[in-house]
Amino acid sequence: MKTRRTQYEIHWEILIFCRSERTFTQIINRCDLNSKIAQEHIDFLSAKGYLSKTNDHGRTLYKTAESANEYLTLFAKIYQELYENSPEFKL
Amino acid sequence: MTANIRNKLRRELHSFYALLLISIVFACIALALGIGFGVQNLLGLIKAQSTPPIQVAFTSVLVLIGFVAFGLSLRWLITSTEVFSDAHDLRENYEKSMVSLDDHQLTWLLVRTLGYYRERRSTIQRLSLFSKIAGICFIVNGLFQLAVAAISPPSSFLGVLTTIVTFLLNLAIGVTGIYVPQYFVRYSNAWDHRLRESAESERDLQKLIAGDAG
Repeated sequence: MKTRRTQYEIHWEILIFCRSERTFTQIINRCDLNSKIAQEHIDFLSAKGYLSKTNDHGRTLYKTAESANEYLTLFAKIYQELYENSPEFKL
Repeated sequence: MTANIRNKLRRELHSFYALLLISIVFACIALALGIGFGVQNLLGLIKAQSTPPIQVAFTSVLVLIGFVAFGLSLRWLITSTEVFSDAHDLRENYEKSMVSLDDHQLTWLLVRTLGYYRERRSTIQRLSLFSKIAGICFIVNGLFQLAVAAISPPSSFLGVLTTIVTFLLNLAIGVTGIYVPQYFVRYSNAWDHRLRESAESERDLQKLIAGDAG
C-alpha cells in the first residue's frame, strides 16, 4: 500500500522500529524507503543524537537513543489527540 | 484514550470499507445499464424505418448518453476498486494489530491511515466527481426515455410497463450516483481536518528537533 508521509512521520517510524538494534536493510524494508532517502533520514537522526550506531562483526546496527524518547512521546500524543478530537466519519 | 481511538478507528475503517463496497456495486450496475441502454437504443435506431425525425434525434441523444454513462461508470468502477484495494490493506493492518494493539502500534496505524488519505485525496475527489456525473447521466437518460415514450407512446401494456421500469431504474441509479459522493465528501472533511491539524502540530515537533543539540 502506497502512503505519503511527512518527514516527521518517517522519523517516528524509524525511531520506533529501531528500539531494538536494526540493520540498514531492515530499516528500508520496514519503513518503505529507498536507500538514498533512508540514508538521509538516518544521517539526520544520527546527527541529532536520536539514533546511535554500533558495529557488530562488520555490520552497522542502528538503535534509538534515550534522547529520542521526548520526540516519540510528543509525536504519539499529538497524533492520538488530533485523531480523538476530530469529527468522526460514519455511514 | 487508546480504547476510544481504537474504537473510532475501527468504526471509520468499517464505514469507509462499506462505502467503497456500495460504490463498487453501484458502479457495476451503472456500467451494465449504461452499455445496455446505449446498445439497445443504437439497435432501435438502426432498425427504425419510418420513425419521425424528432424521435430519431431523441434516440440518438439516448445512445450518446448511454455510452457516456458507460465510460464514466467504468472510470467510477476502476477508481473505486483502486481505493478499495488499499482500504482493504488498511483494514487488514488494523485486524492484525488488534492482537496486541499497544500505544505505538495505534500511532503507527494512525500515521499509515493519514498517509493513505494524503496519497489518495485527489483520487477520492475524482471518484466523487465520476459518480456524480454518471448519476446525472442516468437521470437525464431516464427523462429522455419518458420523453421518447410521450412522443411515440407504446402500444401495449408491456411497453408502458417497460418504459416506467426503465425510468425508475435510471432514477434509482442516478440518485445513488449523486448521493454516494456526499459520504465521500464527509470522509474527506474528516481527514482534511486531521491533515490541517497535523500540519499545525508539526511546528511543535520542529521546535523540539531544532531545540535539541545536533
